[in-house]
Amino acid sequence: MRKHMKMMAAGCMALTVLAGCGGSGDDSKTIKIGVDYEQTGGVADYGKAHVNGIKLAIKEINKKGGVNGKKLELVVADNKSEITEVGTVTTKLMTEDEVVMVLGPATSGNTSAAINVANKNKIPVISASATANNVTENKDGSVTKYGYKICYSDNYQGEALAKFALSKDAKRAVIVSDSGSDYAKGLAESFKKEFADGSGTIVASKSYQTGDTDFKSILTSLKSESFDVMFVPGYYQEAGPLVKQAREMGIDAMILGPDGFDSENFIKQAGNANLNNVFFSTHFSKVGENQKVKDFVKKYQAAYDKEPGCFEALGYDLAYYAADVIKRAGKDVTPETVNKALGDTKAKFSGVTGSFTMKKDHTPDKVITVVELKNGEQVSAAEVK
Amino acid sequence: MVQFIQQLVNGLSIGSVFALVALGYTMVYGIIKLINFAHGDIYMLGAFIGYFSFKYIAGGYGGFILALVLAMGGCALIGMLIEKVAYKPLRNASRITALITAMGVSYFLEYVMVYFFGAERRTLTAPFENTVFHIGEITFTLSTMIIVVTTIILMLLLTYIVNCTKMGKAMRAVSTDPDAARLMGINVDHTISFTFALGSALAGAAGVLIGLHYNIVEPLMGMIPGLKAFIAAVFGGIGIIPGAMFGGLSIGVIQTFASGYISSLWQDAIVYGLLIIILVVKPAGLLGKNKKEKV
Repeated sequence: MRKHMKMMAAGCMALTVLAGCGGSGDDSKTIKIGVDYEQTGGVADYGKAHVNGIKLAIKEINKKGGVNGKKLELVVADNKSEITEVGTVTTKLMTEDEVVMVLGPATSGNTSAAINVANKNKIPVISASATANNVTENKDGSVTKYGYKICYSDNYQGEALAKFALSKDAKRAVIVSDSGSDYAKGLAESFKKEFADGSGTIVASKSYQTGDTDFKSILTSLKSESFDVMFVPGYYQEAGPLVKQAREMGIDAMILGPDGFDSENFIKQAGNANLNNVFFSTHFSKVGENQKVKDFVKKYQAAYDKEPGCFEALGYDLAYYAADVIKRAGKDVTPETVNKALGDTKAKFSGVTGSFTMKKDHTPDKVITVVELKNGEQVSAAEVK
Repeated sequence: MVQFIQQLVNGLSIGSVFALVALGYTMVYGIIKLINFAHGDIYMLGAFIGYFSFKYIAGGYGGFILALVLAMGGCALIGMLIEKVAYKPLRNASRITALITAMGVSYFLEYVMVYFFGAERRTLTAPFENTVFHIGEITFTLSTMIIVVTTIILMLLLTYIVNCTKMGKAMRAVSTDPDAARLMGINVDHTISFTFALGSALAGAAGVLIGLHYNIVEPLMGMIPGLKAFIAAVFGGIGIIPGAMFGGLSIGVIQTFASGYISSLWQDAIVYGLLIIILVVKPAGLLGKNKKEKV
């Protein structure tokens, strides 16, 4: 106990006192954090990127002595990009591995599933990239007790992209969206609304199915329309070949996408030559002069021998945010004290993907960056509020 | 009008691939009355052979020919092997047993590939630049033309083999009556093996072509095209070679038109709906006759 008494000084006094009667997990030398990500399956790219970022951050934190004198220990699990597997894996992390919180998953659908498990077990889940609007809400619209995220929501993203398109003098838009995901639907709706409110016209809306590889028939029917911007709410798996086929077919209009575009595979599948006049919103951009970002890129490259993308950065921020939360939870780190620290709307966090405070609805207050691709390279980044 | 022709081009290119795969279904069905559900996965294996060939052996036009030869040869061997191991012991078992075995083989191939290579999509390194051609307002990519031309060449070759060679004659004989064929001195086992090799080689070629077209390969890529090709075979009349070609092209075109003019969400409903109508009106398929001459 003596050792723990010393640590109290570093922690937040009020919270520590409140948490004093919890008790469990006090004797161990490490604090266990669950990591629940898509490391195989359809969106493995997202999951693996997050996990790399998280591991790097945790290594750094532990090198500096951990949090409140305790080292952070990761319990990594693979949910195989499948919603049923998310349930199994999250339950295991929470009931068998005794973690104080779970980081992940990457997609909104999987995060919702994990939050359900979280509410049952009363252990918080924080996602860094579940952008769907209602992820942190219960079915009745109230804020869920144990679910959080540190990225902006889709309606906010869709609105920002519509504003961005209007600011680029786009008047006529077509939307090609993934019919199989809530993510795409939410984005398409908020884009439509904001674009129409701002003097733009939606000329046509088309949809494809998740897993499609052929978009030629849809694109051919759009080609006869006249439009300034094509908005493609969806993930890189389909967006890559879609953009490739659009450009090969001679559709030169501006193509605008959400953060689902942000993957190396998007660039690979579309091909550099086809990636001109393509814009997408992202959580993280290396373009610019931010010292924090530059340091992160350097450290990431040293550790993994490749450039980090947005999900690596989100994972990195997520781990630092978790450490910050644990620090604020104080001496007695239990799922309850952690949850209390997570819900604190005054604590400001500053990371490589931006600064934010947690809002009452368990989503952060954050700015959106839109990057432009030229020959497959990010050439500029604009902030949209 | 421009849009119509463009959609037709899109439909024919994807239809060619369905046709190549459908040929394998139809030949195997014709000869041993087995619906070889693993056939779509042979197509996937062909695409992977193409992927590795482009990545590690050679690119360019020569590399494409090489990939095609490797995929066709490799798939032919795998097809023969599957027949020997999984289907031959069941030749006299009930048809449902063989059908279920075929599904088992299909899942086996898919998940062995997932185990070794992961389920994620891989980007195929294009062996050459996919140049875009314009005729008036209609655009073709080089890969579209390669698909159509290769398909035509392979179909002519197949027609020649089936109609003008001794092996082709044996295939037709076995499909008409295996017992009579055996009595006439035809080695039925060899003939069946050869049929599997031929069908699998075509599927392998289709895999390389589709990899080239979309630049994507993944272990589960054979499921849907396999199913569509099977429908194409039934559509044209299963067991009949021209029926598979015709069925494949039709399904490709119908699907493209449905997705282009109505909605991509309706494309499958329309394709399957048409299949039902055709089977009700003409149970033997569009080109099917109640004759016994099948391959």
